[in-house]
Amino acid sequence: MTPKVSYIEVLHPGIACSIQDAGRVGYLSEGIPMSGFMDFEMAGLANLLLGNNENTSVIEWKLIPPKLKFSAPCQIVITGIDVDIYLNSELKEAFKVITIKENDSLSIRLNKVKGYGYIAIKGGIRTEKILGSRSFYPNITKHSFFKKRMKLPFVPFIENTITKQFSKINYYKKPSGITFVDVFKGPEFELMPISLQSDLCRKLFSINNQSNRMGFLLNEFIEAHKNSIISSPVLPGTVQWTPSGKLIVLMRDAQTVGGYPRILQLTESSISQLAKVPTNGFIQFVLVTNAV
Amino acid sequence: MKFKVNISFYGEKAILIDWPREINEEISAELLKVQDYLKEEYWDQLLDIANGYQSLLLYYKSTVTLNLLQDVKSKLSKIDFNNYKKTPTLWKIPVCYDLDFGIDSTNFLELKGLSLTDLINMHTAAVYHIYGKGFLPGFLYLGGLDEKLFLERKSIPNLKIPKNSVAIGGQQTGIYPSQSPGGWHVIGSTPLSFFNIKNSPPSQIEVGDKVKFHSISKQEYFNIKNKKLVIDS
Repeated sequence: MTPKVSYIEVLHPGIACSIQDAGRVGYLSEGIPMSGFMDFEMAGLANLLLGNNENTSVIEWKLIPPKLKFSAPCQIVITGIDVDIYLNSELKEAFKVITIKENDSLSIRLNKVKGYGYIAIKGGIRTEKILGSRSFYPNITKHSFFKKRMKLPFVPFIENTITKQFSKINYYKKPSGITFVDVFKGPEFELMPISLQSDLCRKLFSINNQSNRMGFLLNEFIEAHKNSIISSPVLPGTVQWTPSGKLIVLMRDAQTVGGYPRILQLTESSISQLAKVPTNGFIQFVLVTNAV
Repeated sequence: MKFKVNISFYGEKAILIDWPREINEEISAELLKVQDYLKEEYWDQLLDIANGYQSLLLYYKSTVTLNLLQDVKSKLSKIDFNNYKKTPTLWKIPVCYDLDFGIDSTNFLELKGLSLTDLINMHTAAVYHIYGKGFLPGFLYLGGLDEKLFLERKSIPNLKIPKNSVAIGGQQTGIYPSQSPGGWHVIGSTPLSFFNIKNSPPSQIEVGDKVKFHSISKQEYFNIKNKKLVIDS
């Protein structure tokens, strides 16, 4: 018997909330971005606590989380830093399995730190899979972001698959300060003047409020320039040096090609670390080298 | 290989192969053969290969090592290009250059000092080479534009360029596969869609193929659009 599908109704869409999984892999040559969780670590934790595969589709928020109503019982885990979670009016914990009853409504309030956060549901969200992924992206999936009254399908939980209630982790956020971001030299690293090459890892950079899933713009200027390159492939984690002298760190929804010099490339795990840094939070690059 | 390439690490999981920094069809042709060859050689290790005008990015499932880098080098020295002869498909694409579709044509013609007939003749005379896809999913980068039609992109982009618009940006021409903001000058529209995310791959048109446009009237445009004809190749 195929299980009946139930829905999560979006009561309030929040801001820039979307469905994400591990992303759409294999279509870079078609010009289709990879997308996927901004913070693989946080999304993966939420899934693992439920006994899901770590790449299962989840709800992602930034700045303002959605308000949701569940049409059937299920289990969820919320991972996010500095959040207050209310199930109906009862306060719940992050990083711990929450059991939901029919018609429960969920709201989340962010406090000081406004980073990316996740709501995972046992069995995953079952919106349409396009080219191997449920990750929202304009002109690929039907929706780019949550809309009011949208219905997100899921498979309601079956009694014997219940996840043990004591699954919980203690996640301690590092005290606010500087986040160190590991980087490799990019293909156009040498286009920078020598003095700039050695200064780059001594400077502090901060995250501009124009940052989004496509890229994080950094506030500080390094040096204006007139170098452009023939449109070349880029990846999430590529650091571009724009002609104005500002840097852009490409994130998961990055376009597949770019014409700005690619001076650095973040390690896979530091992309997720960068996603945790709130607007105006500080980062410092740390140069690493490839394994031999 | 005809051209000298540079092979380097690109972060943790990727290797970049760079051809000389210029845009030409010979480099594009060699690069595409290398792409097909490496796809076969590393089919079980690769997640994806991305291409630019003169570079390939091999994106692996796991961390790349110096050994792998050497292995790519030695594979490239052994490639037999005779095994990778693919005849490019020529796609004949109808375009309506009526000013109702060419929303930037009036401005474009004034800046270039050309008539609409000049524009249509020059734009339909060339055979364009597809160097790559990007900017938007399915957006084709077409090289081979008549240099009399070169015009820098607008400094302030249009917020909504309609789906299927044909446009000129810098030294290139292209087709918008979906509605999007963009800085290119829109000179017409094609009634055909080439990009459908329900298909895998979403487009039949491949990098390395050729494109030729032909001019159609508004009446023909709507006839084709309503009949949903397939593209002629």
